[in-house]
Amino acid sequence: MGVSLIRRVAAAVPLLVAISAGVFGLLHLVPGGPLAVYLSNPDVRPEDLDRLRRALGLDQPVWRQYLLWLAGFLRGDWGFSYSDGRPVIDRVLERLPATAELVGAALALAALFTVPLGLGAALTRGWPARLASLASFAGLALPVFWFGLVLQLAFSLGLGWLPSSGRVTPGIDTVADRLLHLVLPATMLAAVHAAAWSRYLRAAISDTRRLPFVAAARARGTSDRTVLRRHVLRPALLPVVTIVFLDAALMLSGTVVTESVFAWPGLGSLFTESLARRDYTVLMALLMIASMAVVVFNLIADLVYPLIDPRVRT
Amino acid sequence: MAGWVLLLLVAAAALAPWLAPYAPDALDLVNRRAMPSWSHWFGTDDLGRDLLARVLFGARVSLAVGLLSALVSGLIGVGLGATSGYAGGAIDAVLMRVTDAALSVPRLLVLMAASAVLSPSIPLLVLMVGLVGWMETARITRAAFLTAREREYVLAARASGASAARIVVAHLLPAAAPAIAVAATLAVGRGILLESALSFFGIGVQPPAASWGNMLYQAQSTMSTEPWLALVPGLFIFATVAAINTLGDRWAQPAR
Repeated sequence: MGVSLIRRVAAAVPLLVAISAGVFGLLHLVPGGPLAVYLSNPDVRPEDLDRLRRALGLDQPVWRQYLLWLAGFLRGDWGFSYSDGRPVIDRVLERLPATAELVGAALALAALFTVPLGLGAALTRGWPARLASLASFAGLALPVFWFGLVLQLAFSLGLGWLPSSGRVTPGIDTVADRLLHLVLPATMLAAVHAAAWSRYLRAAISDTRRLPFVAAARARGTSDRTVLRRHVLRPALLPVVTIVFLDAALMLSGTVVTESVFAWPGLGSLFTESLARRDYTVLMALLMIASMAVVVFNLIADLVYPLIDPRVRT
Repeated sequence: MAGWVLLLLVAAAALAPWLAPYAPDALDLVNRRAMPSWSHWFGTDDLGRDLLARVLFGARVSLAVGLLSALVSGLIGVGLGATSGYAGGAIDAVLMRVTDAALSVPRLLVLMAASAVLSPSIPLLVLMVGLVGWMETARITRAAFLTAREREYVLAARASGASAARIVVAHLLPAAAPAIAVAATLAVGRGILLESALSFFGIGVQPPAASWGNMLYQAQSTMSTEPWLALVPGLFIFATVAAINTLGDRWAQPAR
């Protein structure tokens, strides 16, 4: 276990370095580079531009800039935001709680939607099964941002039940108020994942039910309930748990769309704001965090799997 | 039914110049923000442009980006997956590590960053969406090649001196074709969703050209007063992707 952990972590490092080099190159090799926005600004004199370029290290060759950035990133020195001059790490940390709250709520909601949809599609017959299948199928084809707009249109602009944007109402900062603000964005973020997870769950349940040990349990006279709980659901949930871990990292990039629709003040809106202002240092940090999340959660999924499924323990 | 829906959409997109009741960029300043009516089935937008005409012309862009980006990712994915699955060994190991690396990249974010800095034309957009979507096809092609490689008829072909190229083209690719078709179908749906997401942020297909995504981008600000502007294009994206996914599912059934 210890050795395989070290080996896996060691394999993840070059992967992350490769990703960071690719993303860094993409951002810095575009015509004009990070300072392209200033080129057309008549108030910025060429000599100012030169001084700025030197101060930011942009006069160096790209590979040197990358190495400097990498060394800084590893030390926790993520550079300074191009748009307001504050340390990038501060700007990221101040937005982190909002996003963590949103992703946490969305994960919980997605799990809540998944169980009835997956079980319903696998275990019932006739219209309930068809309805559950249809719901998860529809969820997969939804353009997420449009789903968010529809939620907003129906529940806040139309019915007026829920706030349409933001994380709190200024002046009424209560727990209930925060929860009300969380409902629509979390539902939007959860929908696609719940749809995918419930399809996996349904497939896993119908595959598991055909296995000999289920027939054997039934032949021993075990009650249907116990067969379902002990022999079908337990093994069927295992692959779904892995997918939940992998998707948790994807949800982080999903917040870009959700936070934009609902003006949620987290990392996702920081990304869109930085994109609009060409704030390269912040963009770079956010892209790295999102990639690292995928790699780290992959790693966790690999490590957790043997713990919950004794068959793959070696 | 899904097939008919798609056929109808493709036909409508192809015949857009003849079907559309108005030009997609014709301004009608008297009838701005008109509700859906007999003269404007889906209403008009804030410049008085007919929404039905824009949806029809937008279908051309959205469907073309979806199909062509799937073609790009299909070519890359089948090429890499076939090489990996046929060659095996070190080549396979390296290519699969590259695929893993590409899968860890948050594709929506990278695509957004790239389109914001490059402001791509539509062909470049197709290329970019295709470049982030080949990984699934590569894995599926490789898996299909690995199973087909061990079949007796492939051994027989190899024993009778068939060249590597002939084995790949005549024996392995046809065996992998159903799986590749499913992967390609799903890639079309994903391409349409990615394009619409980029355009929704205002960094994909640029106005005055209409795509379903950029129509949503423009509709977002007036949603409380003209909700139909946001509902209609989204319904079209939804119906198209749902129909494409249904076809993919149906073709995947015999393979399971």
